[in-house]
Amino acid sequence: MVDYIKYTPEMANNWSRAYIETHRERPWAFQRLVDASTTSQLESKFWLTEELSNVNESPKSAVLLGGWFAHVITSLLLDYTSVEKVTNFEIDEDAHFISYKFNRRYKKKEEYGDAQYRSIRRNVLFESLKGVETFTGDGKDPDQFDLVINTSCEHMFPMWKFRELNPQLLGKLFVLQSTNAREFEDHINCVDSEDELVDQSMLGDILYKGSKVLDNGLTRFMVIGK
Amino acid sequence: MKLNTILCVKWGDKYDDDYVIHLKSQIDQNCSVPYNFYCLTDKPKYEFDIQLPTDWDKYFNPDTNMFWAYRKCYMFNEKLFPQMQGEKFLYLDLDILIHSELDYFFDIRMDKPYIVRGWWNDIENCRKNFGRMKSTPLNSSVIRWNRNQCQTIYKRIENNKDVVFFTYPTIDNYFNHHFYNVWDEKVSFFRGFPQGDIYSWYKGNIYPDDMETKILRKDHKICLFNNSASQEDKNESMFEIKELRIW
Repeated sequence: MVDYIKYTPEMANNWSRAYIETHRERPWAFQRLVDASTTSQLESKFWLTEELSNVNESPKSAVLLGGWFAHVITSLLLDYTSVEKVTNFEIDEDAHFISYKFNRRYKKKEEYGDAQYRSIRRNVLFESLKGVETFTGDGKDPDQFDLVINTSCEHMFPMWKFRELNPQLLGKLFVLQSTNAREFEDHINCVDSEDELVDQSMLGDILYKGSKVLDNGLTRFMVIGK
Repeated sequence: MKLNTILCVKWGDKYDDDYVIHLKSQIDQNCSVPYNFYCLTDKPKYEFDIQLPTDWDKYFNPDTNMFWAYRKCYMFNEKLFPQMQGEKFLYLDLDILIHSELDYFFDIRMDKPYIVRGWWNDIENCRKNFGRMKSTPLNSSVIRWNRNQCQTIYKRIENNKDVVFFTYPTIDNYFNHHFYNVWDEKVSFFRGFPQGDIYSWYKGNIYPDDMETKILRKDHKICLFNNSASQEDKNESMFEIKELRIW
């Protein structure tokens, strides 16, 4: 059961510095850090990690689409699943830089080898992931990713478009979350069920689908499939 | 052949012909260099009118109103309008007040195209809301570009019509996300017109020091009437504002 984060001294160092430095360098983004650290945010990430662990797959290199600060999800993936590397694609420059602060311990270290976390500023609905360099920077490997996670589908065009832009990801594992909470103006793509989320993504092989009412009273839907 | 071209775009019923006539009259009074004038419109009537294309209409959803004012973006592909002459383009919204010589806009350095940088916006608020598609610092009421310089704006829409019309509430949001960098304005595709050129009747001039609304600043070049937050103001026509009856 995934119901806590392994709050190690190294993580405490990274996270406390991330909060302090954001407050000092990008004060306008501070409230959003709070928004990204609520009970509901944790619940939905724990749920994702738990169900991902239950499917019989062993992905190594995860992509986060619009992963925001990627602090909770990165540590959960690296601590609880087979994932060894996380690449966050984010359009927001504040989130991009702040995510590095939270995940400093995963940058390249001589004793541990290559970096385990990176963030790339890219709008993934306009530009394919095909041309992305490998973690080691020794070329472009279109086959480098085997897991795609989008926990904010409600903010984006339906995921079939992303899959169309990225035929190299055919057959790879996708984990998608969305909501029916239409009261937020930036929720441009809500769904009413996990089945609608399946339809939007045009995933064929469904390994998990379900819904969960979170602490904030909102319902989230999740689909894991290929 | 005249090099300078001034454009406006008119569609639907929000603005009637009077707006175009008054804009043309203001331009005549405030532009001493030779210029072509065109109105790209869905209902051509006058000699300066040019028919707007309708290719993107099917992507617009009137229920959501997303990517409203998309018709303005046709103008960036000059090839769509073979009768449109000129090399230096200045686009003006219909509901503006021109205070001084427009010649200035044809003499500025054009290594980049220009758009209104709404200096009345709190840039930190714009950064905070970037991901939420809110609080863009850009305003497309006045745009200056040279022929072919903005084709990429048209092409990106044309190549991603479904995503663009689904994602961006306004063309200003689209410009902000693809052709501007709210964290580093120096590396942007667009350059903002400098402070002191253009201000807003409903929103003020420069944040936070000069934010008084509903006053004329005649030492500036153009006054915009971009939407107010107040419903009463939204229903107001610029012709009803007594301070503006100066033409």
